[in-house]
Amino acid sequence: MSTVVIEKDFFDLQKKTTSVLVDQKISEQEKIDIFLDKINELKSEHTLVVQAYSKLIESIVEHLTNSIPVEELIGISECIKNIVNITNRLIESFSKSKYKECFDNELRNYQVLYNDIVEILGDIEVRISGDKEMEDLLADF
Amino acid sequence: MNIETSPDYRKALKEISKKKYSGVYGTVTQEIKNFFKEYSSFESIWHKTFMLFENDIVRVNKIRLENEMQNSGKSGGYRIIVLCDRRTQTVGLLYIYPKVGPLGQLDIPKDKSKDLVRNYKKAKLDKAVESLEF
Repeated sequence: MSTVVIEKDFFDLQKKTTSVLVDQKISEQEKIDIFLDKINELKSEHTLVVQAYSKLIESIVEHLTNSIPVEELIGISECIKNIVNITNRLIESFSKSKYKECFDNELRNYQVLYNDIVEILGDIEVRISGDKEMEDLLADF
Repeated sequence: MNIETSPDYRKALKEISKKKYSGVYGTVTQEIKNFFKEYSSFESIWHKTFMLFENDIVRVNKIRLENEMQNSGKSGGYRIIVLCDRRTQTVGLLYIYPKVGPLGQLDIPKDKSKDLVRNYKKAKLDKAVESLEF
């Protein structure tokens, strides 16, 4: 669900920006004003996306507090990989010089979320693959 | 529930708590206190924190804490690696690291987790663990 929201938001950004800049019927100043309005609108939308993203991460974490069969862990990790890829694309876009100044705060937020979800993915992969040395260490405790 | 700290944890917390980082990590001690007030039973730590490794008796979990000063929820907060021992109802704090800021770490390497468990075990034998009360 949140994956869809993030992807939609990403493509809305490009669509809105392009439609404003190519419109020939309005003056340059109007274009700039409309463009800035769209930027502000997008910033609000991104705040909502970030909030939804945070909730998604917390619900994933809550689910992972328990023992889960490996098959289910594999399924969860595949879903998370999709989210990681989309977030990576968002970060790449916001890192471009034309967006960076405008979306500096959004870029920072997405990077924090990205680092978190990548860490969670890494922890899941450790649970899937297991670690004999750690198992022995704990058995010996 | 008994809470005890390993030398690795105390060293990491001391670094995070340095005055020069007070603008970024100044509330870390309070965040830890708040967490243990909310999760005051052994079972709540065992069941409601992110599990990394386990057997029937012992679990290595990762606690996710907020950093109020960063305003980025738990994603941009702290992680505490703990070892929960069901037999003694003890939660050993093995290590703490922030996710963002000058001491920010993306994760801890797999080998480091093992070293933390080994060091904690040795510290218990050497009576170098310290009890913590909130």
